Amino acid sequence: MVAAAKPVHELSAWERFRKDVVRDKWLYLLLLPGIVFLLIFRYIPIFGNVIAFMDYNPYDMGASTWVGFKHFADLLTRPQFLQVFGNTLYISILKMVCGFPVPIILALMMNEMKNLKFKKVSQTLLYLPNFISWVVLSGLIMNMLDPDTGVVTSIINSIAGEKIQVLTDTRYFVPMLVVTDIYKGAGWGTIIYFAALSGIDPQLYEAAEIDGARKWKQLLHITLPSITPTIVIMLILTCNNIVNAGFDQIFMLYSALVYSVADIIDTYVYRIGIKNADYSFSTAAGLFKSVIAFVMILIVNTVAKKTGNEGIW
Amino acid sequence: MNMKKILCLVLALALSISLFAACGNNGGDSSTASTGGDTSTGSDNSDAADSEPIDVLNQSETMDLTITVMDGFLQQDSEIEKWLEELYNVNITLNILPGYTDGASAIQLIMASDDLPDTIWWWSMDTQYQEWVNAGLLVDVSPYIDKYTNIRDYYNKMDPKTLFFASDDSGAIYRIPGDVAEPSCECLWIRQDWLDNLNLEVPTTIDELEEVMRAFTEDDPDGNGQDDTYGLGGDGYDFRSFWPWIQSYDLTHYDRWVVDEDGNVAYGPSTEGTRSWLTDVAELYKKGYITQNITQDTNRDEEMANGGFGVTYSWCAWNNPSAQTMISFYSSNPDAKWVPIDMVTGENGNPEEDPATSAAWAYFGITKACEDPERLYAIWDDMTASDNYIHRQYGVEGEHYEYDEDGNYVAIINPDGEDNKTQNIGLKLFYNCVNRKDECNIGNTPETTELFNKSGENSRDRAAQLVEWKDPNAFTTWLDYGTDIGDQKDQYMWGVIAGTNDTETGWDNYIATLNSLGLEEATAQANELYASQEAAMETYLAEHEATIAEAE
Amino acid sequence: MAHTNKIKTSTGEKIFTVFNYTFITVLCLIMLYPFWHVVMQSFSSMEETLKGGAFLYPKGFNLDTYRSVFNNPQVYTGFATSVMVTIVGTVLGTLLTAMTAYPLSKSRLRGGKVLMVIVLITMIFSAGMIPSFLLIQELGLLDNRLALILPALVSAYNCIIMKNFFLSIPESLEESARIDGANDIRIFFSIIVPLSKATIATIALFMAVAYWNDYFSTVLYIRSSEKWALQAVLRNMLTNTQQAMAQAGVNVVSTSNTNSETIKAGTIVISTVPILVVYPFVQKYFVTGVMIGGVKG
Repeated sequence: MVAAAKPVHELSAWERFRKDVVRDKWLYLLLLPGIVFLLIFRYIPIFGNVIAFMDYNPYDMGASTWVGFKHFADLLTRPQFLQVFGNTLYISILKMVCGFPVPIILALMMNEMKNLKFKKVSQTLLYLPNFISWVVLSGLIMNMLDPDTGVVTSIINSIAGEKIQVLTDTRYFVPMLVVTDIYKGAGWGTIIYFAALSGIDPQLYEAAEIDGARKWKQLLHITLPSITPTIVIMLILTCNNIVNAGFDQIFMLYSALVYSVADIIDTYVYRIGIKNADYSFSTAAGLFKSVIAFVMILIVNTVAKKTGNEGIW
Repeated sequence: MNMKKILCLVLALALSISLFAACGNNGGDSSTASTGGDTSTGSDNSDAADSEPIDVLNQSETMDLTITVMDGFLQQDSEIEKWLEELYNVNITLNILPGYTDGASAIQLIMASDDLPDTIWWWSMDTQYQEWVNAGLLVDVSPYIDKYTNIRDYYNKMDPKTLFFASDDSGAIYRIPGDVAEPSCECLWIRQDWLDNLNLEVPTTIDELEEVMRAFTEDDPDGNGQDDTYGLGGDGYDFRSFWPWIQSYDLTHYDRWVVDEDGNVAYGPSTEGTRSWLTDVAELYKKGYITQNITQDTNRDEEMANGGFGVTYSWCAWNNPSAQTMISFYSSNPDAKWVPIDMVTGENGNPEEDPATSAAWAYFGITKACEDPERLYAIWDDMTASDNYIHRQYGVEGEHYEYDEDGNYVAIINPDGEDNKTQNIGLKLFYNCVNRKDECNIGNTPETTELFNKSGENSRDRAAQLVEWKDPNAFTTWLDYGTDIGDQKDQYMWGVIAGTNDTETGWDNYIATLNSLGLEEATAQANELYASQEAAMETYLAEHEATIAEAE
Repeated sequence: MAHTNKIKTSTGEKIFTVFNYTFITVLCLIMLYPFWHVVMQSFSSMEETLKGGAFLYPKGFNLDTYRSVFNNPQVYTGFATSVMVTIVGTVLGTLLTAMTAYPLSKSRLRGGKVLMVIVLITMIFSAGMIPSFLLIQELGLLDNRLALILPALVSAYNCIIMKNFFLSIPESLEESARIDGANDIRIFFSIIVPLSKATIATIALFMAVAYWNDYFSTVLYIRSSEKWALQAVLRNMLTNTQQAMAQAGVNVVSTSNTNSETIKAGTIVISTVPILVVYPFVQKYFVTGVMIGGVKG
């Protein structure tokens, strides 16, 4: 590459560009099918989001009219909006802060296990909750937290020294969401880190052992740096969820008694939708969320790159 | 550098927008054309009422029918389906909706597609329904309704208002009621064995009921020496569980609008009556006479199977020997006995059950895709006739069911059982496309029918106090403010019951909040709407006096 | 290696090992419980299930649940559809994702960053239900099993993860092949793909699980019930009439969904077991050093 670059400054920008494109023609060819797929199956429907700016009638396009930002204004000026928006951010950030490191720690712990059989079995078991839907899991959670017969309730009560109904108590509901969310997703989240760990050259460890480096040092100087790119990418991708606090989970577990802390954009828009089926309004809410997520990813990606990590682009 | 990046991005976006906007428009145009082009079906109907009725049993031309339903029998080519195909010379394609959770989405997409079924079934989608009508997707069946009379007569017999609620302002009927609840489906249930253990009488007043609840909670009714019982239980997070206290006061409801004798409409959860029963219930909850998890979305059946409580407001159909909840309950509590009792007398001295609505909860309609809507309506009507209905739901006597010596229905092939599926018999086919609740519902035992009748009769005064909206879309303020007001109401009411709020100082605050969310404006519109709806109903009932009288 | 390990293991490391195994064991038991509960419920009698509580063993053991589920002919057609969709979708999708991700991992690629953003946007901005439906209708894919496969073939999320992994492959490995005259497509298939087994296995697992668990595509695009995916069939068996009526403001008892707790448990088991069976085959690619081993071999 360095050798080929020599005459480059003699060419104009356009010629250089053409030259590079011709050089990488096979790469573009590889790329083509995937991009075409995304353009057809994602971009066309994504542009369908323009219905957020219309009063859209799916049964009669002719009856649809452009209304500009009406639905966005409607969403943002609703009396409950600030509370709901705040809850969304609070819950999702709390889940991120508490939940993000857990799969990493788990993966690292399991990476230290020398017993392969144990490792494999425990991996499989850790994934299991991921396959139990919130509908079912919420039933079990309610059982465990039953004010009279719940196993977990009795533990909490003895610690707190008072009778607590976790599911209807505004102080405990959000922590409960965070814990159960980690419970369900942490095991499955380790997969990506296992894949990253499997890419580390064993020779690095052998060399370190010869140098007499302790396990702890190996972890700090070999393992962690090796999986840092993965961690950074996962962190950036997680930011996409900044406005997704977990509809299914909250929807199955919340009630009016905890609306003040647990009602999020998605659940709120859902309740509005029941009364007033309005595609344009819910699309506007979705678009609003996407824009926030987009900005968030832009910021985090920039920070990642500024700090010397590989960003998404 | 950064500018360049942004420019690139914008360009790429603009390019793809212009590319695909064209595509999108095409899609839009074609669907507009297809909906706009075919509005003639409505006008064709005007002389249909005068022409000769179609004899659906003798049709030479085979008609292809695609029918979209949610409930009932869900396999293709069942025995019953074949019987219907032969009877009416039709070829039925059964289209199944994917369950209630996603059913509404699926129905919307089907109606938005180029390929409509001949008959579509739906539930509770009032806003969308109006859009379908406006887009000309549904066929007006009002010209046929007096020509083929089984459906009309059945509904007029049960409740003449049902068809009024199904019709639109001009008298056109684009939706045929599919299922209407019994006038009331619930009554008060009590553990007779616990009453006996504690030597208590069946309570007849609300105070006696509360005393029984106290005893059930504190006096160890099951004699196991443990403090593990409650007075009242019910489905969690459902105000209906507190019905005995709600019905103690006039002009109150946990959700609906109420109307007094002078026609003044008010929001049920904001009336003084609500304040009163909330106070009562909160006190009982605080005393521990009500299951503590009733504030959560818990399932009553589980608690009941474990013998946790002794009073509940529940389904009349529990009285049927086939009621699964009861079978399960008795299998683990063989000595127990739940009995239905009369509603207790409360403050207002007028014990009443919880009334169901006059309007159907599920509808079906004939779409513009149907080539011969009149013939299809005639088929639906003929399928609703008593004999055909029973054949469709329960099969053939002697083959699929029989009567025991008391005249009670005994299933040979249980319509809800395995054999119906494995043998592909097809009982309950088109279950919710006119689901008859009269004597054709042979699955009810005579006692259960009696219970239903009693409950129904015993709920009319209450029903007269509750408002039912014919066209929720017309109630525009409620579409705008309803969710926020409803949320606020739920928060407050459950807060009172759970003890985190109260009806003393909290009440004024609550009403002020509701008003700040637009309740006053909504109430004003509700009063207007109610007045015009009442007038329209008067007119409708007067116009249809003859047919209604005939049905009864 | 084991030998050197023994010598250098300090007390601290020993304590850590003991703690590590104990902690993970306890964690596994906690994680296992819900699934165990569901499995035991699926073998229990309806009456016992109704009573609730913990299920450490089947109460009132019977096989009625499975009999009832497998008596539904739709379960078989659903299973066939789901297997077909999952296999085709996973194979094609993983290939397409890798093909898309590899060029994007090359910093020399002109316009690569713009393309990356184009990919990323599809992750952030979701497509609405109706626009997606109209697209499939325009393509003539309504009620066609292809509609269950195509829309989800390439996902930005998987693409980004894969691109990130490709970045960690040393450029030097490709250089030698390039000197031998191999073009980028050849390099991709003969060097990159074999080196990325762990990543490909991961993405394939993600895709397979997503395809297997997908029921909403069926809701959106499929009408004929014999073309439903298994998850849609199973969900349909649990449909809750009473809830729907309550939603419509009507309080009616429903007799039809009586045994839903056990059926629910059974359907979860049936839909999860195939994934658990497939998983060990994927797992072997996660063993440390696969990539480097690949280079050496």
